Amino acid sequence: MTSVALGETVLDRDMSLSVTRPSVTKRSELNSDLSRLIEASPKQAAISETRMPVSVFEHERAQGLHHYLERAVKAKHINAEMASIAWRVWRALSNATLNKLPVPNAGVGPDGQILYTWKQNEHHFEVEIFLNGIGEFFYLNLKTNEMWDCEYTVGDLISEEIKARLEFYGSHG
Amino acid sequence: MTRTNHPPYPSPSIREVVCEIHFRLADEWKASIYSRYFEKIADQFSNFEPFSTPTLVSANAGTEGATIIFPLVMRYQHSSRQLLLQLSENRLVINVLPVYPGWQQVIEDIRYAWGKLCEVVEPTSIERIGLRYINAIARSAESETLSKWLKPNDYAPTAVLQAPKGFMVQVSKFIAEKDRIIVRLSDQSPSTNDYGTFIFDIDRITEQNINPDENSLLENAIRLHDDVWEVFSSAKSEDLERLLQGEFL
Repeated sequence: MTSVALGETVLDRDMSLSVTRPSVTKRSELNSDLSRLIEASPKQAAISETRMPVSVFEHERAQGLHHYLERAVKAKHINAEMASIAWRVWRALSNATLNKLPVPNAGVGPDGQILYTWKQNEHHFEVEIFLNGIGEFFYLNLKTNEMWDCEYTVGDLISEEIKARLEFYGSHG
Repeated sequence: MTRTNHPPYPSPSIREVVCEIHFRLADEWKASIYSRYFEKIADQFSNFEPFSTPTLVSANAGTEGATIIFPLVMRYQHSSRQLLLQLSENRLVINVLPVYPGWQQVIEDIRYAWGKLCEVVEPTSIERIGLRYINAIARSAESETLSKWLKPNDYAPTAVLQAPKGFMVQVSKFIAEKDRIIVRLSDQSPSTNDYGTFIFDIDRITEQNINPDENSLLENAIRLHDDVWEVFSSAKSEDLERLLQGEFL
């Protein structure tokens, strides 16, 4: 493994969108002129400006993964086809888990393969992707030593069995 | 339902879509509306909570004579999707967070949210609709400028696209007496990635008096979306197109 571009997340992954400010209403202060001014503000209601919901965080980490793969192509660590294959594997996994799977840490292997890794609590999951379009899935539970692996061909649907095995990511938020 | 063809992207850059509907009622606003609305949408929106964000308002420029107010907002969260509805006095807001589900789903969400509200209250008119698309693009290198992702257009001047870190510009343009577009370009310091994020925020607002029926609302929403799309597509660079498509050089 020559590099890991996407570091571990340190940001708040709290899915709660509650605002912890006091819920005080002073309607008596709301005369009609002020009401108009509030309504005139176009920036009042965006959620992502006051909080960083996990879906926003993951959305930008996914762009970071794309940037990483593109940089690896430019540096000639991999070719564009390998980047495209690796991206398709990520999209397939993300879609199969209904966008619940976090963006992986990624690295380029010595033979130009891509390695994705996920670690959440005791769950360790990794996918090694080769230029021939084959991905090798490997899972290890660090507490129970439960382990499984399987092969995946790029372009295929992720099987129901794999989806079920990755269900623990549904609670990542 | 879309007037023009807007291609869906496999990897959209949209951080949030905000649709704001300001309306007028035949009767006075009542606090009971919040719970009655929840009853109508509870099968899809399992949680709701009140919140209030302190807001500084001033009749003049600056803070002289400004007042802090605490408008109450009820926020309803969808059970399984990244979708929120926010209801406050004479205002309904639909917030769509990543992953962007596409315009057809967004307009269906607008239709649903408004239709359910109309089962609870009787709007006499819609006074304003705002449709805001907040695009966020992670910077891919320390010295990168926004010109990698956007081309100059009426709302994105070259000087801004080539600016180093720490910029913010807002262009506001009336395209008709009661129709305007506000575009904000800025960058944010690193929080989700190594180098920070570019923000391309397109806000399309109409303040025409609109009939409160579903068709009129959706017609106008489509009109606003067409204009947002036009601003976005005219600024999109080849690099951004590749990012949206998930393609590589």
